[in-house]
Amino acid sequence: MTWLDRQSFLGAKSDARLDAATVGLVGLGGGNSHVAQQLAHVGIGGFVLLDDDIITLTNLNRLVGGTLDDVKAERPKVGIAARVIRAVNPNARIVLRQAKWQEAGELLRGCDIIVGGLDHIGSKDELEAFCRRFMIPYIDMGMDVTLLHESGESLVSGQVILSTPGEPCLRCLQLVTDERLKAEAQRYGAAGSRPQVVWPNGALASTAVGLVVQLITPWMHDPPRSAYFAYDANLGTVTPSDRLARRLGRPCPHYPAKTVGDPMFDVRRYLERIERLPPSEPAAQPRPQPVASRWSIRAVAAWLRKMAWF
Amino acid sequence: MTVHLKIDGRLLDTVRQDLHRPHPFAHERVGFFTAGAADLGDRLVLLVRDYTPVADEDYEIDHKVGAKIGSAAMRKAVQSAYRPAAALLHVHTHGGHGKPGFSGVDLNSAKNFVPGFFETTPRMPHGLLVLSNDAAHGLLWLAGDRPPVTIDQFQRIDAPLQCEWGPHDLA
Amino acid sequence: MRDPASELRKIRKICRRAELHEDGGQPLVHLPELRVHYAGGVETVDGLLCPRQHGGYVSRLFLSKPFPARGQNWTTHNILGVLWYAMSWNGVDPSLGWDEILGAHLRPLQ
Repeated sequence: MTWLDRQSFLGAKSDARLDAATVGLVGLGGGNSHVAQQLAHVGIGGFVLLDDDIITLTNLNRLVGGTLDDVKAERPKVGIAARVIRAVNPNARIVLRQAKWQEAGELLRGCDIIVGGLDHIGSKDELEAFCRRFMIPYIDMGMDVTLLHESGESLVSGQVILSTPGEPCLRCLQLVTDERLKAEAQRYGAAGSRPQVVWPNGALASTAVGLVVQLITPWMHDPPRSAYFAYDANLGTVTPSDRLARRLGRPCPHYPAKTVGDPMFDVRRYLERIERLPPSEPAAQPRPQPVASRWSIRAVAAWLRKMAWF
Repeated sequence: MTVHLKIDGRLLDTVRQDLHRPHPFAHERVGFFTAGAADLGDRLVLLVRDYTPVADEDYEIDHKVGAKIGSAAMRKAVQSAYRPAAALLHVHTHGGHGKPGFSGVDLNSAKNFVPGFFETTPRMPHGLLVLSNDAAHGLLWLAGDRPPVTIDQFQRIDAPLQCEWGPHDLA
Repeated sequence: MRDPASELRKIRKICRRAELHEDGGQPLVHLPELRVHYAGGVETVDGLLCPRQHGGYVSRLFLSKPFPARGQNWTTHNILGVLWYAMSWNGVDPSLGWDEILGAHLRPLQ
């Protein structure tokens, strides 16, 4: 019996698939704190956690896993997420960095999926461009509280979008527009103290986790390559947005396939770098192979330590 | 050194269909992938951009091996990888199921033409792929004067994501 | 619309190894080892020029390191998979030649 027995309906070898996968969580605020917890429970094995922020008092209304003790100790949000994950799955492979994701992009390149919990449209735009460049499916979450002037009520809404290479992107779906970027730039990107609450984050996070599971396990026979779910907390609904329906079947013009890859990559420099790695330890004579020999696990581990993985 | 390759699932399906088309005299059709590359720290990843089939008229009869691709096909292939600089991967299929292997003819001819790709695009690796109907195998040259390395993993970017494109474990 | 190839030739008179890339449908000019006048001296830095709209700016210059003594509101970016910094400097007309756009973005560093 294993702790994942109740989810065997997810399909053949789903436990192994979930364990082998690595999900990058960019921004460990309200939204991704839920995602981290749920992904740990569902058995995701690898995590890359990036956020430069520490928990503060006003985060406590929504940051899953955060405690008053954490606030007093000014703990980093990535540390709290890692603790939540390890409490469920002590064997999880966790890489965490208290940094802006832009400063730690090299840690995200190897992720199978990236989930973004970012406030700024400009940051979402850049993160999606990064994911498209390295052919990583990207799931974006966002929540808004808008005052309806006529009624004085607040509308709580949000969206979850799955952006897969070749499919409609955040620009195709009009989440990222030049007008919104311009308005944000004029505010110097300041988000201010935007209203945020826990339960819409939970609804959005659960929707995002469902998409992760669809992408990794054979649970569904024909899961969608793209998704746009619109959330209305006032009505209590999560519905497919017609913005995606209008775009389906049309290729994304913003990220042509010819631009994937690192445009600065040079195999000659790559060879110089790997040839500078420490030599492997003497070992039993390897079996003859028709291709070049591989580097030892120890040499790779030494390189990873230099990149501050742990 | 570990090498992974990522390809859009729909492109892969299109390529398989194209490579299975009969040719008047060539037993096997071939084509070329262009790909970007990136250093992931613990591995090198190839990111397939596009596929160009060798045109029917660019095959030549060869009395030793039946058919081969002519210089026009090679010229078009290297041009496609010139700007933006791309890895060039020769691809064909052996059909069937499970992980395919390279024939002696595949390997001998690749040893001759793949190093030549570095003349036009020296900053990218280049290689050779063979597909089955549900798996793949590949070799990558990192320099023209070195033996190739094996491509260790193939990931199909689709819903769901699939590694090795068959009933294999993701790990 | 200016011809990218001729604009790149102009930029290469300032930065010999300039290369043209594309991201999100926009041209980006990579400027390796760009020499810039900074606070009375000369510094070498990598640059990335977007001669068209980017992130709400009508044109923008990104640099491989910030220059805290010059410019305001330096922000962090990841473009083409690489870390960059940019100051808040908007309004450089994208209809200018790329070399002029670059010059206008570098002026605040002097």
